[in-house]
Amino acid sequence: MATGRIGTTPALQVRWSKAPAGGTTSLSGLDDNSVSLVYSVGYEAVYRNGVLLSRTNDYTATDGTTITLIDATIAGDIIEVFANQTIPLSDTYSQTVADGKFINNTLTTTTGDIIYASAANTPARLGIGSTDQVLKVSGGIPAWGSAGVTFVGCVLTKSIGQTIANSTDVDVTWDTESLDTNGFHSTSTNTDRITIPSGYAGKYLVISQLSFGNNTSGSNRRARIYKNTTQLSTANVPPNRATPVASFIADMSVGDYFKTAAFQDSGGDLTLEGNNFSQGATVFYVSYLGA
Amino acid sequence: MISFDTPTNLNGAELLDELAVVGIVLDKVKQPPQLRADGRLYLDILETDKTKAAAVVAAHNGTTVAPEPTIADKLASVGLSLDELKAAILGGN
Repeated sequence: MATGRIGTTPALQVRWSKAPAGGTTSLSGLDDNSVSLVYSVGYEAVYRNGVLLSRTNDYTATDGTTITLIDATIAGDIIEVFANQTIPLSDTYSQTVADGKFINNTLTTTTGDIIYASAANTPARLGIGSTDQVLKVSGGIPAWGSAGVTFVGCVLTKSIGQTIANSTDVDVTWDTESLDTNGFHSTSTNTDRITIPSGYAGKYLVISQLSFGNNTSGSNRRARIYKNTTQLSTANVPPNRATPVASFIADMSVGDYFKTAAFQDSGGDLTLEGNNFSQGATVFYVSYLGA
Repeated sequence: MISFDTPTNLNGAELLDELAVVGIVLDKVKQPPQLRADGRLYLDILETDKTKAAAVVAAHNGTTVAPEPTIADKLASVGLSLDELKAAILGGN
């Protein structure tokens, strides 16, 4: 059985025991228990009838498999060899090297402590957080923080009405940002768009609620939602007190945009009401749901 | 989609009727004219029809005042029907 620990040389010890015929001087091979004689030169101990023999004076052992007695055995002799076989280890650490490589258990001081790398090959301790905290990343290293969800998205409204030509899909523009957490919208360029900012690709809930001026002519008041130039969702309602609401959950990449278009067929122009309208709000909003 | 300068008085339904006269037929429900935020008018037509359509669009001067709603429409806008109004008048309620 191999024994030992890091930094030392373990040994394999075999007890070889044989009652050789009288006149034997060369001992090798299997003993009376079918154990092979293998030893490391200098680590063997040879006994003759229980008496330890002296290396060189009583025997020679030079090749690791054979022991040659100076005096030949006589019938009834018992030869026992305690063959210590050293096993060289090529990949070992000295204690000094090991101390430099392994994390000292004294780095942790408190139940729940976590070990992380504060830099390459540099272990550091992160003390346990508080109840209900979750592990986050702050400044490039782990940190405990609140699990609370932070809203990401925008809510757009109109301070004044917008004329919608008869039987025409008209892009709705937005001049008021009730909420805009991450620069989704601009009030100066592409004011019809909600554009996905860097770092927030993923699923979005998008809702367009368009409040048309009261007019009963025609048959349709409509809200449509687009992802870039592709239509996602349409809501049609009858003309009386019309506030169609279209919605969708869409998978968006950074730079993609939502827009919404209004349609009515009253026969002439019709106003899409601003938020001073008593019958309902005209509003366009998105909420980031996650990647 | 092909874009055009937007006429001053745009009426999408009338514009589609005028395009149909010159052989450009668009579905009023599925292919209405689009007035985009860039201020231009977009039509879902073939490139080969662009010249004909441009002439129609340039000449377009549509109706922008909605027709006067009927009495029934006006009543419906406040949640009433003609029968309900009659009943209210005759019943004295």
